[in-house]
Amino acid sequence: MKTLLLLALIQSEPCEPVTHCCNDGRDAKPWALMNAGVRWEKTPEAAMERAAREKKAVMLFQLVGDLHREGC
Amino acid sequence: MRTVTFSDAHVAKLVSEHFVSAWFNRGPGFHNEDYSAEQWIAAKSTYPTRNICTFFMTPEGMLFDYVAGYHEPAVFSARLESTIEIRKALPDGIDAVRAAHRRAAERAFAGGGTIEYRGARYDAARTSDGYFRALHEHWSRVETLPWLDEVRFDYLYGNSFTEESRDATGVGGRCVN
Repeated sequence: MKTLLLLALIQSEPCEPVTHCCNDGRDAKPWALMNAGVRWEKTPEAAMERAAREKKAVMLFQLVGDLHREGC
Repeated sequence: MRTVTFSDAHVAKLVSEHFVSAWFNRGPGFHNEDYSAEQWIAAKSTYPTRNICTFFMTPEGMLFDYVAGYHEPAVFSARLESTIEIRKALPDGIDAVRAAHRRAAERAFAGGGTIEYRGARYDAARTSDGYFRALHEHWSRVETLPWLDEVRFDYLYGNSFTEESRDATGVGGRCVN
């Protein structure tokens, strides 16, 4: 039950795909070196699902502001 | 964190072995065109700003560790190794997790406040020794492990520096336009 509530909170509003952060449609990364090292799942819930399958934990990096738009 | 630490090959290897990663933009903020603050922060090896936070949790969303702020690869790598040990304690229950955090607090740069990484030594003044120890000691006293949403907007032991606007509500997978 708590998992469902958590997933609902994480995805409570529509969110643009993380690889498309520019309104003009350019296929830009949210930041220039995204996926150069650590590989990021598209959404937190996708990470949770894959972690459950692969018996791993989840690392969720949270930031504030427009820091995710540096690649635009 | 994004461009330095998470691009580091050793950090990436550690992360991929034990974690599945995702990122989340918490809420509105100004589009920063002046990067002098970030350059100053990146010049230090570690800086517990509340602007960013890395959470570690089970696939169900139960939190067992977090670290706020920027930490360069050497510091984050050492920190990750503690987190991995803490995660191994999860099946044994809350007492084991608390004990693992206590060990991490004691071990936090116990070598005279230094860590070794790729042949280089980093001293306590650069490794936020006090911050990590306080954070682990906090975790060693929790009665139950929290769910992510219980702490994600009010995580402790972070510097008050933040770019968050007053209007940020930070709920859900909100993206900023």
